[in-house]
Order: sequence, then structure tokens, then C-alpha cells
Amino acid sequence: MDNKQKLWQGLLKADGIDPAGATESERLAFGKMLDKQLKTKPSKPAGRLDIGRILMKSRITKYAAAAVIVMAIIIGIYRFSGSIDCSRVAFGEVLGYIQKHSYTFDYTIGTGTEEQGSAITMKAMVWELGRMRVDCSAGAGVGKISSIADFNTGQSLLLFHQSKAGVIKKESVLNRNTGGEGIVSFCTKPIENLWNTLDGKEEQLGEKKINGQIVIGFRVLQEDPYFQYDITIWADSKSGFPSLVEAIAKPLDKSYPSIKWTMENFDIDVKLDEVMFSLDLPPGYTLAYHEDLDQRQVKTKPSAESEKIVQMLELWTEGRKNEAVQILLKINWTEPIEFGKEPYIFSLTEKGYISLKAEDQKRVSEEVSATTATVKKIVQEVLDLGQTASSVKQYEEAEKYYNAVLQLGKLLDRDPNSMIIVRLVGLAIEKKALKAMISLYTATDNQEKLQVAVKQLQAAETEGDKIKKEVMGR
Amino acid sequence: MDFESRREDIVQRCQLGQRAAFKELFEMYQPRLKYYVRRLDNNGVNLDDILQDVWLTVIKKIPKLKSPKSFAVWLYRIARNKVYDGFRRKERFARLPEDDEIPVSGGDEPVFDASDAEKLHQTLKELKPCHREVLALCFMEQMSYQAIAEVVGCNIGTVRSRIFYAKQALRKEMDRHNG
Repeated sequence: MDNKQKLWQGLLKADGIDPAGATESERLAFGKMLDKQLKTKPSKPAGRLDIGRILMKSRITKYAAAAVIVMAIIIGIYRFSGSIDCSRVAFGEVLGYIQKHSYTFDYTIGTGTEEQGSAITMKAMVWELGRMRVDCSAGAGVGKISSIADFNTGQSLLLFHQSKAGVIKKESVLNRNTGGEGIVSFCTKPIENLWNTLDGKEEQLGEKKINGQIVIGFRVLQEDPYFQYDITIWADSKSGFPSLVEAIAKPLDKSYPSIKWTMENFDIDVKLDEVMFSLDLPPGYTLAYHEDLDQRQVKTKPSAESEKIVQMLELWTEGRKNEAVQILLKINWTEPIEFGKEPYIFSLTEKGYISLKAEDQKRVSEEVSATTATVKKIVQEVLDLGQTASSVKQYEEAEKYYNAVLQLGKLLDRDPNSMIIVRLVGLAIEKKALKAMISLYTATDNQEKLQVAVKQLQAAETEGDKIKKEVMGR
Repeated sequence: MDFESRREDIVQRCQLGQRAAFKELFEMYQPRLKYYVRRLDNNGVNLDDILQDVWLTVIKKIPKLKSPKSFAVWLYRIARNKVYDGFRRKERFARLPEDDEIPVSGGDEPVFDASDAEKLHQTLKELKPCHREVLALCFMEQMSYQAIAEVVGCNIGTVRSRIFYAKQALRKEMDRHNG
């Protein structure tokens, strides 16, 4: 730790502020604010399992956790709807609707307490018994996901619409051992128990009003080694039309929050398009999570100019900064710049990334992150050199530096199929170079070049905004 | 990854709406922001409100921040405006005096050691608000004069002179306290 860092940390301590981070109450307040603004899930105290947090933790876990949750919910719905004892008339009528019709409903899974409640709401659709689709949003970065399952064949399809990727599972979706993550048992265990316990031991809850409608209720209480379950089913007292189903699982280990499932807003006999329940990958979608990075084949071979770029990155990493900059300046940008398999920052597309196995996605993310950091440092160095040259009126020299940066940015952004993060870095670099060029051409009163640079800057800004909007799913 | 690169990465992820990134950013800046705001508003009465307001603005507006690299300037600028808004609401707004815009002749600036932190903090209280502010930014963020000028909304010469005189005043006060 250097003196400056020690100094500011010392000042904070002298003022009674912990330099390591915010206080717990500040964290809670900030978490609530985030919930409101990002319209996602509230944060939980450390040590508690937070579905929202797991989903948002990283790109990989976001996909994986979202997939697991949606599949777990589908399993739960199917088991629940397909196994309830129909011995009681009112219950039988309710189940008649659930088992013999096509319908939609809102499905919410979250923690059981209102004030800490983390909830994910989804739209569930049933085409016929055993064929279901659940649509939900997993937030920015993942976007909308759909899970389609056919319990008659055991196949399922999970679609990530934002990245146009899909995961096909041929094995039974009822196989509880797939995945193996803690979240699987967390989500599925209570549902499995729910299915096993609804065997006619339900308690009549009598009637009450929900939104002006008189409903009749049933309740089932159960316990397994992990959870206590409290399940209520409310249906129209006359027609048996399902109105609200709630299940709360209270963990026996009190350090975990309760889980609550809610099914509501049932719409029976709605017209649904069978295509929405197809288990084939839709046109334009890529198969995700199956490709091995080491087995990946690329058609192109590194060209002479691309080798210079690789060399530049290596030299900079070795601390030979001047040599790295000189290499950058020597690149002939009019020559073809083709890369081989690596560096992934230049060779891998967004779809290629998605198709990789989870562990390989992590590898690539780390490499891309390190390489972009190096590129940014090189860019800053070259821009500084340009500024120095400009300040002593060596304008041609300055332009040479700025142009090298601009071309490097364009290289990162040249392929619309490249990884989104790489394109954004490329555009940011282009903008920096163009701003420097605009200052240069303004100083030298070169109107022709100035106009070109201004237009290029506008185009880069528009492109960057477009990508960000796409990513945000707007 | 160095601090700047890490911060830039976090800001970019915030711009993509990643909740975890917002939390990282909050942990990174909340302590320093708190110190800065306290230096502007000595009473500290509205500290929590102001900080919450600052972060609310950050969450809402960060997608529109054009350059992630300029995040710190942007953040402190927001904080400064919030403090001033609070002053105005309480009708106790007074412009920070700018009577020290005397060109700096190039003398050596006092240097402070980490071991001076406690005394430095105590002595900061004795300084004018405009001096406290620039020094807080200078110490907390190691901001360039240009960046500080952008935060406080004055020219770079003013910043240079404020820091120069503030550091001298600080050293003098510290020496006086030391006897």
C-alpha cells in the first residue's frame, strides 16, 4: 500500500469511517434503493441464500441459476398438478381445470417474508397436461428466458432470447440429480415434498373473499428433514375455478429464508400457439453450453498484422511499453488482419461464447478482461503521446498516434457478431481517439478532417447506445 | 487489475444494469464520499439523506455517463450539487469564497505523510470550506487539478492556488499545534 493510499485511509479512520466499505445499515438502505430502481430482487443479509443475488452474480451463474430455477418450477407445477388426490368434490373440480384444460397463470417464487421478499414472477402456460412453457425475465445481462418442457417425453428446451441461445435436454426433466447445485435442492425439494404430501389429508379452510370473489380453501401441512410446508389452494366456491395457490416452505435451519410459491391470475381455455411449446431450437438460435474451447475450430489463420497486435500485447504485459507502442504504430491497417483461435478477444463471437461450456466461458471471460485492461492502458499511453506531440505543434505526429488508437478501436468493433463487451470497449476507444482528433483538427483548422471525425464520433456514439439498449433489452 | 481499470470495469457493468456491480461501486465509494460530503457540510445533519440522494442519482443516470473513466468526477460533482441544494433549501447557502485565486509562483507544496492522517483530519476543520473541499478530493481520489476543477466548477488555476495555499495553511496549523 503506498503512502497516498495509507493517507486517505488514515483520514477516513480519523473521521470514524471504515475505509473497507459501507456500514451494514448503509448496505441495507442501498440494497432497497437498488431493488426499487432496478426493479429486481431485494438483497439479503450475508449468509442467506438469495435467489436474485445468485442470478445476478455472474454471467455464467446467471444463465445456469436461471435455468435451474425455471426447470425446478416447471417440475413443481407438473408434479403438483398431476398428483393431487381428487377424492374431494371441490378439490376434484379445481384439479379438473388444472389437468384438462389449456391455461395460463402468473407464477411467483420468492422468499416468504414480505419485507425481505425476493421474488421472481413468471408467466406460465399449459398447452395440455405435461406440456408447459414458463416465460420470465432474468434481468439486464440475461434478458427474457423461456423454459419449455414436455413431461410426456421428458424433453425440455431452455431459451435465452436476448442472446438467441438455447439449451436442449433430452433426459427427463424430472431427474432431480442433474445440476447438483445447492439451488436445485433448494427449489425442488419443497416442491417434491408438496407433491408427496397432497394425498387427501387436506384441511378445509372454508370460504373467504379474494378481490370480491368468494373462494373455498384447502390447506396441507407437512414436514421433511429440511422444511416445514404450508400449502393453501383457493378456488371459486361455485365453479372450482382456481384462484390462488400458495406454498410456503420454512427451512428447519433458521439461517435460511422461507420460500414462497404463488400461482394466481389463472386464465383457463386461452388460445395458445403450439409453436410456443415446440422443443426444437427456433431459427437463428445457437445451442448453448456444449462446446469445448480446446476443441473449437477456426477457419482463419493469423495474418502478419494480427501477429503484430499479439506481439504488442505481450510486450506491454512484459513491461516493454515503448516497444509495444512502436509495434502498434507500425501496423498497416489496410492489410487484412485475421486472427487464429486466440486471443479470444479478437476471435470469439458472442454466439461462440454462449455455445461454450460454463467452465470455458469463465476462462474466456478472464482472458478478455485481462486483455481489454491491457488494451486500455496502451490506448491511454498512445493518446498521451499524441497530446504531447500536439502541444509542441507536431500535429502530423499527433495524428499518427490518434489514428493508431482509432484503428485499434475499430478492430475491436469491426464484427457485429463479436462479443458485446469487446465491441463496447472498441467503441469507447474509437470515441477517445476521435475526440482527440477533433481537438487536433480544430487547432489546425482542418475543416475537412474535422467534419469526418465529428461524423465518425456521432456514429460511434449511436452504435454504442444501440448496443447498450439491446443489452438492456429495451 | 489496477484501481482505475477495476473501477472502469465496474462502471461499465453498472451501465449494463448489473446489480452486483452497483454494490461493488457502492462499497468502493461510499466511505470516501461520506468523508467528502462531511467536509462540505460540517454539521453533517443531512449526511445520510444527501448520500442516499447521490446514490439514487448514480443508479438512475449512470447508463447515460459517456465516459466510465470520468466516473469519479461525475460522482463528486453530483455530491457537491446535492450538498449545495441542501444549503439552498435551508436558506443558508453562501458561495464558497474564491478570494484565494492568487497565481501560484511555483514554490514547493507541503507533502503529507500517512502518519500525519489524524492531525491532518483535525486541522482540516480549521480551514475554509473551499480549501477543505479541494484537499479532500486531492487526498481521497488523488485527482488531477483538471478533474478537481471539473468537480468544483472553477478553472484549473483556481484549483492549483487553492490546493497550494490550503496545503500551506494545513502545514502551518499542524506545526502550530505541534508547538
